[in-house]
Amino acid sequence: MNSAFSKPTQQEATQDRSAELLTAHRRQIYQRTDRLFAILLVLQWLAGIAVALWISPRTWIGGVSEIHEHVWVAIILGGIIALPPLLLVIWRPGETLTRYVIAVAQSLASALLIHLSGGRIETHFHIFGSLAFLAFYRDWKVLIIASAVTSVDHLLRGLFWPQSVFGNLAVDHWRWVEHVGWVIFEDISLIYSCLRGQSEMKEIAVRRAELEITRDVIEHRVNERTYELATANQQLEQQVERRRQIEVELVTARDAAEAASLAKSEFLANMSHEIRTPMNGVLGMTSLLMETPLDEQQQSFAETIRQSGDSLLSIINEILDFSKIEAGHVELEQAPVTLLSCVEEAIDLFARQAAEKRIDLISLIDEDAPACFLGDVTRVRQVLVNLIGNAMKFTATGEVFVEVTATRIPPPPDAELHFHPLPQVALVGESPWHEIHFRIRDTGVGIPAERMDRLFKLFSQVDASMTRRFGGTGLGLAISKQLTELMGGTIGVESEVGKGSTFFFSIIVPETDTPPDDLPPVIDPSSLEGRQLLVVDDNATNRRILCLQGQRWGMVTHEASSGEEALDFLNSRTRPDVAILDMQMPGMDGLELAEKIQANPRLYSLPLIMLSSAGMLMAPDDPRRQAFVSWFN
Amino acid sequence: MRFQKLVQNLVIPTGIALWLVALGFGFHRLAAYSLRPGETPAVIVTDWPAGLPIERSSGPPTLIVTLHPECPCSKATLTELQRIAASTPSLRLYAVFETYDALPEEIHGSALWRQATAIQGLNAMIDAEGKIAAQLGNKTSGEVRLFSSQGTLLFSGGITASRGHSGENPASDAVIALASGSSTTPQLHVPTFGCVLDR
Repeated sequence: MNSAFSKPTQQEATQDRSAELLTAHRRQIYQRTDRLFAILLVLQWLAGIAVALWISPRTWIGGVSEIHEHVWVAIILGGIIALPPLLLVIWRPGETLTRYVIAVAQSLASALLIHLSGGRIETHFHIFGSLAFLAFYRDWKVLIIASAVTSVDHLLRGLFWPQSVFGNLAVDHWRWVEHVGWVIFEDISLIYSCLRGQSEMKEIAVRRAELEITRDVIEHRVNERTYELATANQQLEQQVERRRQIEVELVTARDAAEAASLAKSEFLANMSHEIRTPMNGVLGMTSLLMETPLDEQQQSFAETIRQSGDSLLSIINEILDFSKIEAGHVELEQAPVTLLSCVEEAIDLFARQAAEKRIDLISLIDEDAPACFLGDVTRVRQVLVNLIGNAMKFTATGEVFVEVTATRIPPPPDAELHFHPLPQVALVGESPWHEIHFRIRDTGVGIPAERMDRLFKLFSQVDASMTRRFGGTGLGLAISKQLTELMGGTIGVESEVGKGSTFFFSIIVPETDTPPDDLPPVIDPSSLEGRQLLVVDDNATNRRILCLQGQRWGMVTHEASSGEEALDFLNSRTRPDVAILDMQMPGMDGLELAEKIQANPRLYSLPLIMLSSAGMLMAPDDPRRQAFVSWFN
Repeated sequence: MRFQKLVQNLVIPTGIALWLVALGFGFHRLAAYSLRPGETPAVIVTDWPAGLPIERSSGPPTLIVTLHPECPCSKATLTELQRIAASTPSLRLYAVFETYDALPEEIHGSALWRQATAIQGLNAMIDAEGKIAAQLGNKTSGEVRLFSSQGTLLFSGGITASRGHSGENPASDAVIALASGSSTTPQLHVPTFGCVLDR
């Protein structure tokens, strides 16, 4: 609470204010009751005259009459009783003297009425009514005064003229005491009522004072808060104005930065183009040089020049790509693409590397994915190659698995933008659109969670040491991201350190039934329906993919994760129609398993297919190849 | 300034004092009027007047009251007379109404006549020329004469204690006592409160 309204001060203020309110309330009651009595006194005066005129209008002296004495008394004495209080009500309303005089006058009016009525006992009720009326003042002293006048009147009349007040001369001298006793009886209840009324008035005054004080305190606080709010509002407006200025400055700065970035991109594009031309010249001449007779050292130098040139050209190409994208100069080709060819061509680029690192490089395309779609095969393959290349780069053992699925979607709202100008090919069906999802999962080193957010940013790698260990410009993922978004898709990554990473991206493309020229020959799988296939591979992914493919063709598939398990299966079950053997398996490899199978007369004629990422490592004239009807790699 | 203040300070007490004096005077005047009796006859007729056109009772006493038909004070007299009649039913009662030329209405239509005739056993009659009042020597409305069966005056005067005030009082109690025979002491000088019967 504010110090200005500390508790003692507020109590004092409440006391003072309640006293003021109580005084005002009392004065209001006194004045209001004064006015009521002014009316009552006048009415009583008129009533007294009326009573006199009715009961004793005239007095007679034989045959002559004159106005009765009681009429004059009612007029004159009644006026003497009523007029002074009336004057006081007019001149001094609400004052103590006024109500005391009214009390006396009212009692005397009762006395006069009793007299004029001939001492009728019923007119005594006027006294009780008058006392009740006087109680409106809530001032017990008024009742005392009125009762005192009544008592004196009864005492004097009882002593000297009892019939005028008691209607009987033969009464006891103490009869007046009985009458006064009844008056006192009424006074007790009325005085109690007055005191209660005064007490309630005090309580009301205190409450009103407290309310007023509280209201003042609240108003004071509201004013304070309003001032604070106004100040805060003003400060806020100033801040908003400052921010608006900053926003304007930021927009200006952003526009300038974008302009600078555009200029930079155009510059880089131009420069890269200018650099690539002579670099092609260098590489071309180097290739020509290597075809000339060179000694071993010169050959080595020339090879180094060619490799360095290739690396430099690769970097320049990436920079050129990025610059083109940044500058908005990339236009996507819209031509029929065979999904299978696109994926396999990308994988083929890394087959040798996979074989060298003894990594399983596997792909699986969902059967619901469209066989052909309209798109830019170069850009899709570029993203795939980038992600597979990264996976290969950071995977020392295990596998790199490329999985392709697709979701059928309605045509996007901006579909026309994808085809401007419209391709000269037919689209399939009414809703031939697909979102094709590519997932490249590896079992490499993984990426720390706190580093993943920077992966797709420019010139960014997981950490600086990566560049030294694995090479790269840090532009590959940024370019992939921008290409993916250009193709209507998204790109992302999930990773766990030590377990590997999964990069995924999607593109939105329409399906088409117009195959490209490189569509691979379609195999009729009907001859395979119901055939028994045994897949022997220690790699579960490989087993799953091979079984899945066999099942798609209607084959009955069986799995074995090792040579021993495969032999157990072959010895105990029905002889399969064909078996696919992985070459590299721990313990018994594919070659040894093939020898043991063929050593069994029951299984000698079983067609065997060798699956090996390292297939190229075996010489074509190796006699062991004779055991197999085909080789997959 | 000081004088004005002094005057202001004196006005209220003086006014109150004057008011109280006026009130005292007014009530005193009222009391004086109420207690002022009518004229007492110079000579009280102690025996039944000869030739009085009223038949005297041969048994219980006979009560004769003379009344002014318009006297407001005599209403209390008739009220007391009703109480007396109720106390002594055998009493023979006569209410003699005087007549005047200037009366506002017929005697038979006056409130006092109706009140009188409502009393059980009361004989109302009109004293056309005021002979009965003159024979009895009555000067005031409400003046009562009570005679024994032998014609002896037992009571003379009013039966109210003041003008227009009814209620028990020594005079009416005396009439009851004399009428019932419980008292034999005549009351012949009791004041009467009422209008003047004088012509």
